[in-house]
This record gives sequence, C-alpha cells and structure tokens, in this order.
Amino acid sequence: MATDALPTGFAALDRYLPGGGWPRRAITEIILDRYGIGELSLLMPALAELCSRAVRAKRWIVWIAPPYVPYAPALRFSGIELSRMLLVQPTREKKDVLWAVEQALRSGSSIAVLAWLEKASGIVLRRLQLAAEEHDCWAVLFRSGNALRESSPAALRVRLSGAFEKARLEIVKCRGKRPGIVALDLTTPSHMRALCRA
Amino acid sequence: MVPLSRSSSLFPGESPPTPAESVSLRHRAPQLWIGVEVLDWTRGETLTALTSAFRELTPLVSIEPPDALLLEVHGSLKLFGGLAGIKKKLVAELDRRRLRYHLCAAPTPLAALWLARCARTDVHDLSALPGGLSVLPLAVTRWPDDVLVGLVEMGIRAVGECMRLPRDGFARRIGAQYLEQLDKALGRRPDPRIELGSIPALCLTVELAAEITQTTALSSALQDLVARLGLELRRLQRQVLSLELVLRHTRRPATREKLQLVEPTHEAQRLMGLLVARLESMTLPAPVIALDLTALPVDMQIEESELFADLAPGQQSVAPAALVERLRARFGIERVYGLELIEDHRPERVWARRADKLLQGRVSSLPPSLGTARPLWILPNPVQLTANELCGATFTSELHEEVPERIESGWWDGSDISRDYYAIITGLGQRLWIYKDHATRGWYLHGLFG
Repeated sequence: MATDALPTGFAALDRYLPGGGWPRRAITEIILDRYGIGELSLLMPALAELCSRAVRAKRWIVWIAPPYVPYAPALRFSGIELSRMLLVQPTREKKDVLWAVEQALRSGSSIAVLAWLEKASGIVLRRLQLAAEEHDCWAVLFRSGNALRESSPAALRVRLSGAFEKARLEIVKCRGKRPGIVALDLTTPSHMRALCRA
Repeated sequence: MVPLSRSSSLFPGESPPTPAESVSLRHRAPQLWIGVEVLDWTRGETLTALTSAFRELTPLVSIEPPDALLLEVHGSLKLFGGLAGIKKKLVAELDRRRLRYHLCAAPTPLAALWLARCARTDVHDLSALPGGLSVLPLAVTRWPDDVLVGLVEMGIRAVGECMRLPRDGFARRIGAQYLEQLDKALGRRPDPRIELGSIPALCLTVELAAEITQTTALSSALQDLVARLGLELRRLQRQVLSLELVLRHTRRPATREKLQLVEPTHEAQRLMGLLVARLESMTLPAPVIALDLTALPVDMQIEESELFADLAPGQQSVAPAALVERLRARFGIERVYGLELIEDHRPERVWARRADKLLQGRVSSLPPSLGTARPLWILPNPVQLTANELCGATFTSELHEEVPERIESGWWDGSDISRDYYAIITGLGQRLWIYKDHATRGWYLHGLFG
C-alpha cells in the first residue's frame, strides 16, 4: 500500500523500497558496526516528515537507550521539531530497554520509536512488530552485526556500511523484494537539496 | 571522627539564630500539632475514618501511613477548651474504636510524631524543642536501617547527639534529607502539610496472607487495592494527582514509594499500570506483610495541566502524558526527558534536557542555521583524546575542513571557552567533531556526525 510507505528522502532508496519508502507500521532494523557513519542522517528526512504529522497528532518520537545524546541544534537544522522528542535512558539491563520499547509502541502515542538494542529474541521482536502494526508506529531498531546471525520478523533489515558520501546500504531482508545493495550519499538527502535551492 | 565545632553544630545552644532564621520564625503563625500513634495493627481504612472524625476539631489532619495521624490544633484551642479539651475528644474517639495509642503535642508536626512514638510529654514552645527531642532514641525517626546503623557505628544513639554533629559533615556523610528532617522537627525549616479541603485523604490497606519477597507476587494484592481506590474515587466523584504506596515489613520501617502523576485521573487501570511499573523497578528490602495506598483526592474538573498547556480542549491528551508517566514511574523523572535549545554560543550550553512542559508548542524561536555544520550526536562530557588516538592508527588525521571553526564565548560568567573545532574522518569512516582547547592545549571529542 502506497500510504504505508514513508519517503526516505533518498531517491535511490525510495526507488528500491516497495511503495517508495520505509515501511510505516513495522520494524525497520538497521545493522551497523560503529556509530558516526551517517546512521542518523539516513533517517532525518523521514523523521522530519513524521514531525510535521506528529505536531498535528500530538504524538512522540521516542529515542530509547541512544548511545549518545542527539544534539538539539543539529536536529533542528534537519527539520526536526524538538517538542516531539522524548528521550528515555532506561536504567540497567536489556529487559528494561525492551520494556520501554514495548510501552512506547503500545501507548499509541508514539509516531516513531528509535531504539538501540543489542539482544532480542525472535519472539520478543515478533511482539514488537505486532505492536508497531497495531498502533501505527514506525519502529527503528539499531543493532550490531551479531543480530544477522538470527532471523528476524522485521519488515525491513538493512546493513549500513561505508560512510556518508560513500554509504552502502545492503538490503538484507525486505518484504516483497529481493535482497540488494543501494549506494547512497547521506550528506545530501533530497529535502536538504530543496532547502539549499530555497 | 568529625571535630565538633560549636558554631556550625545542629544544636547551636545559646547562639542567636541567623537573621534569615529569626525572620522566618517570627513571621510563621504559631502552630500546635498533635501526633497520634496507633499501637495496634492499623488498617488504612481506620486511619481514613479517624481523619474524618477528627476533622470536626481541625481541617488540618494528615495521615502518616502506616500507623499515625497528625492534627494542627492551634486554631481550635479556644473553641474546644484548650489542649486538654481537644485531647479529651481525641481520646474518646480512639477509645470508642478500642484502639491503643500514644498522643503527644509539639509545635512542629515531626516533633509531635517523634514524641508520640516514644509516649513523651508535650512540648509547648519552639525554644523547648531541642531539649525535648534530644533524649529521644534515634529509632523514632524511622530512618532507613543503613542510616541508623551508620549513626550507631559513629556512637550516636539519640536525636540530641545527632543535633550536635557539624551540619555540613552530617549532610555529606548521613544525607541532606535527614538534616532537613531534623531542621523540620526543630522548627528551623517550614514543614508544610496539605490542608485537606472538603475531603480527607484516602488510605486503604490490604494484608497479605503470607509474607511476600518478590515484587511480582504483590501485583494481585495491589490490584485489589487499586480497584477499591477506583470505586471510592468514583463514589466521591474525585480524581487523584499523587499516590503513596507503603509496603509494611515485620521488623523494620515501612518502605514508601511516592508517585506523582502528570494529570489527575480516576482510572484504576491507569493507576495500576503506573504502580506495577514502579514495583517492577524496586528490590524489596524485606518480606512484605501488607500494603497501604494513600491518595489525596482532587476535584473532578479537568485542571489545565501545565505540562500540556497548549492542548486545545477536547484533544486527546491522556495518551502522550500517560506514556511519560509510565516510563518515569519505572525509570525516574531524570531518565525520561525532552530537548530544548537555549541562546548560548557554547556548544555544551546551547541545548538542555527538558523535564516539564513536554509536548508544549514549539520549543525555540532560535534559527535552524544554529545547527549548520553541527553533529547529530553530542557527548555531554567531552572526552580527552590522547596524542596516540589523534595521530595513530585510529585516525587518518586528515582534517575534513582545513580551517577550524573558532568558538570563544562565556567570558562574562566565568565558564569561558576558547576552542578550535574540526570535523575529522577516522580510518573507519566515522566523522567526528573534535576541538583543541586553547587553555589546556588538549584535544577533545565532542560529537559524532551520525
């Protein structure tokens, strides 16, 4: 369904993904080996788009257990509405992170949930996937390469390597599509180019 | 051992109060509190019923779960024939209910409570309080065991010995909140208690059939308690904005958990969710034998909550607030927050965590261009980089921008900075935001471009 896709802001990626964008009510898993290679830049255009919807609908974009603090000036520069951001630093263990993710998904008040989580069983991920579908939420899980050893119910699994101008997005699993590789320039998403022109 | 210094001790003896103290004491209306400590096993419902009965005497009755009440009676002295007349009425009501109890009067609520716990004589004046309290054993404070044990190890067993310790040392070694309690008991610091309005606080109790050691096993008892609270609130047509859950143990002071809601509610299910979330994050210090739930009902009308002040009426506001409450119930307020921008040129001060007014309108009128060439990840505490890390294998040390961005600011408030910022790319492709500090000549990692 076209309405269920969220344009990524990167033309090459939109062309590849079914419906022309990120799967809206589902889990997207982003697998990466290190931070600081453009992992947030990849999401910024879609998050900016969601922000405009979130403001109308009074819904949150929830960050759960991020490795660093998202920097407010840079978020704003990317078109993110700061008042929609809800940051959660769960206390101790993996089970707290999963609990927070599930609460955020099930509350129905989150339009997107970004979570950094290392280990999660297939059963748990399936529950999260169902919650995302049911409550109209885009769930983005950041995980390390180890996660690839296990299967996942996520609608989309991508592996990000390279960096910025020379980013490589390997589509490991995509509902309705064969695996493939998309080359991206994460420094210039299409909406930023539009901003520069204006 | 901490050296005793007379001037800074908790118990200044004859030394005159500081100007600030004397002013606050002079302007405070005189108070007289009666503490009622019920000695028998008390159900929360009993305390609630006593509160209702005692409200004939004074509007200020507060419950101290699990077993005590506090009444402010200064304004009622004339009407009921002095302290003796009021006590007579209290005694009549307590006897009618066949309860065993201790009663004691003092000028501050905590002093009245502590004296009642020891069945001491009344203290009528603030000036007599230090003397009256000093002989009490420390156990009357019902501070946590580890605190009491720590004090006993320092050779301190009575409240008076506590008062003779130097203030700063006491705050540092024992805890500022206990110093605060001593100050409140002695009347050196206000101890406001809520005037209960037309409806007394509700206190409900459930006794457990067996001692429970696991928080998960408490949820069915809690469910029962919350359901009863929900019914009671519906009957009164009231909501609650704050709750206190008290876990009673056999041989140690009860564990207390306070819960503050973002918006008032009367929905049992929502309250249950919050309490369960709090319980799951706790470890029980001892087996639990009973639970008390105390709530202060507020009027049903929807109050404009500050947190969601920009919501138009009729908009569905409960869900976003409920998520914040639920997450905070489990992780604490400081771990669940929003972001805001502040007008400041220092990169670490241009943003802040936002604890309240979440979801409220647009956060900032500052221009988006503020974020030009800024990383998406920031390290709240910059990490110093060693020469090895900078020049060695980890970094290609090839500067992304040849010309650094110089940031110099803050000379007016003493936190001045003078730095050259660079964006660099590591051998692994990571793009980092680092700076050279002109004062220390060190290099620091401040962000990742993400």
